[in-house]
Amino acid sequence: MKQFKQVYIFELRNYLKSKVFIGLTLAIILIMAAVMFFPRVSALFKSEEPDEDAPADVGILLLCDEAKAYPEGLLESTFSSAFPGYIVRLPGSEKTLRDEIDAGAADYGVIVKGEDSFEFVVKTRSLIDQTGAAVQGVLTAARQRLLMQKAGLSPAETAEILSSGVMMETVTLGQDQTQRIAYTYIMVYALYMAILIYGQMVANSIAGEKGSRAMELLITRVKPNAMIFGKVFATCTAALGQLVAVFGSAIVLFRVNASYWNGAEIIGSIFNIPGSLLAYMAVFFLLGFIMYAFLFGAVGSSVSKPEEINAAITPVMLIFVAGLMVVIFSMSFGNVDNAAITVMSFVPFTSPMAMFTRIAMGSVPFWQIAVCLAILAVTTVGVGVLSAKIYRTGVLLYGNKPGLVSVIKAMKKA
Amino acid sequence: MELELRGISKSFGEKKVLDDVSFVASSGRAFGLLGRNGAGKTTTIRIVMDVFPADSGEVLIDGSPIDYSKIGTGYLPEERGLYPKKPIDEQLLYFARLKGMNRTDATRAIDYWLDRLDMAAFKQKKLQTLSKGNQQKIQLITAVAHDPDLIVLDEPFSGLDPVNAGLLKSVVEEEIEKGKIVLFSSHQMNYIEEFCDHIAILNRGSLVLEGSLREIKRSYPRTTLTVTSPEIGRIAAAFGGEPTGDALTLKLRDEAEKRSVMQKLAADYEIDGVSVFEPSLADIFVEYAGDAC
Repeated sequence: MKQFKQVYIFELRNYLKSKVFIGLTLAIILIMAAVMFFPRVSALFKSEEPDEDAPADVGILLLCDEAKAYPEGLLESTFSSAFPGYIVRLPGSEKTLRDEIDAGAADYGVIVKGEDSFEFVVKTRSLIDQTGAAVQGVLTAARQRLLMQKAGLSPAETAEILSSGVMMETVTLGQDQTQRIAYTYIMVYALYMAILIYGQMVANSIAGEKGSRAMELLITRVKPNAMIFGKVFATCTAALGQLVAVFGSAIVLFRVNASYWNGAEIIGSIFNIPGSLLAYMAVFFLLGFIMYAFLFGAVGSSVSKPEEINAAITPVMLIFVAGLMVVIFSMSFGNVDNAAITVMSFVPFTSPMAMFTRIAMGSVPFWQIAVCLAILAVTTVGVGVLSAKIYRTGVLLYGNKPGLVSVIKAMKKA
Repeated sequence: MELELRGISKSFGEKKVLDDVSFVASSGRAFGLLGRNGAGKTTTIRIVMDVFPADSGEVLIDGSPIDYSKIGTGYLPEERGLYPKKPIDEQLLYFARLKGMNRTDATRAIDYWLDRLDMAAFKQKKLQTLSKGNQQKIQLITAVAHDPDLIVLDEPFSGLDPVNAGLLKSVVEEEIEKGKIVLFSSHQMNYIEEFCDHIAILNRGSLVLEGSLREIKRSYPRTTLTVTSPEIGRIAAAFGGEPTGDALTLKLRDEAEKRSVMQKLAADYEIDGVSVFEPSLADIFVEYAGDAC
């Protein structure tokens, strides 16, 4: 226990002193701060804009009705009221309109081809620009209004018909996936990244000690169990510390800027995780992380040099990435109770992600959660014991890639 | 204090690495463990250091099984290596604390040893910035800083310049005088010869020779004389043999002849020196461990 404590403190201090570790944590917090402050900062710039005539960033919309499909002046007044942020102009001819748009002198152009068709002219079409659809809506309403008036309806009746609609309210009896998808994604990716980054660090640390031959000295003074458990738990502490720092500062930053995030449901939902889900997240994260850290440790002790880790870790990572894929696809399709993810939620190597996703976004009977946790806990302990054994045998094997197979053979003989 | 290995055997898989190895090393004397590469030295050392147990046999201190919680061990492995990117004081403290020292004692001991080995100026430097010889001195500190009762030094002199080798020699002598059990393993026979009263030679996992170096040398027949003389040509003509420079090796038929031959040499020729030839440790080593592996 005393040795475990020494190893734990030494390894943890290595992390806390590492420039990469500190730099990464600060960088993530800074990015988070930038995101969280974005609405506040942009609001600041907006309020500074002068309100008087012709503000710099007002757009220009050009109209051309060569087909004379609408009464004169109607289009201009309709568009001016529908696009208050735009100056609406009539360039006169189709060609001038195209030239102006092409030269960048105006943002959008609308060329009416007839009563039921128009061309929307834009220089560069962006993925998220909805202006074309808005123009279509305005023109459709204008046409409907004209037709209704032709049929003899009064302007008031026309307005009433056009503004009528039906209200919809969704009642969710199970899980509201739209609310939960954001933090489930975050948890799954956080687990994935943590395992990938920190697992690698555990493996590197052991393989590094073998490579530098510090191992020769360590094995004469530390019991292998104290060594690998100290390393894994120190790494786990460092990873959790980093996550708490990152998410903690995210929560603080969100609270500070909460009023500016009004209406952003997804962001809001991330910070409204129910307590029970947070507890599940912690348990699955801890068990999954520790289990993988032990696996990476075993891999680290079965190679001679840090450079050999990547090749040796591939089989483990394949299982994990396959699990990640199934979870992400299931989430995207909104069906988190399908056969694949159900099976995976009991396989310990994928269950931390799969079962958490099912709990968060689907409906899982409690007994399944209990069984999954039991399997996961037993496997984690088993992997811990096994990797300590592999470590004990593997650390003394050098030379041509000992590999997991020869380590297991050596374990039987030792 | 006496360290005794009694009937130690160890196999890795099918391969028998040690076969019934026994020897005794006493405190206040250095013990040399010799053998060619792959003879089983490192395995023997690892068993003594409790890295893994022997298949059979015992490691005893003063007749009772060794209790590692009471007997401190220090080890300078042949494959040197610490943490290249860590500051020296930090890793020395870690290794000392792993041996159960508290922070105050460990810091004091480390400061003493850094000073003793002229390394105090490098205390906060990263290990990788040091020369090979200096890294070796730091490694030596990990073996002795916690004041162990049993010190195992595997090839301690390799890579050291004559000045550092002298420094290490004085440290080893000091530790021997303090009554430590010092176990040497080396291929550099001259150092073993200089330090070790007792030796053991391993060959393919078996002990082929063990005992006091003095007695081992004495046990060889004293029938070879080395003569140096300006008149070596004449002596060679009279006694036979091929001179090398001013020296000639004379083989006697038996030891009784020694005195008369010496007297005759002194009476008839101008002699610079006559001595009974003793085999060097290297000769003994080649004789016992030199067969084809």
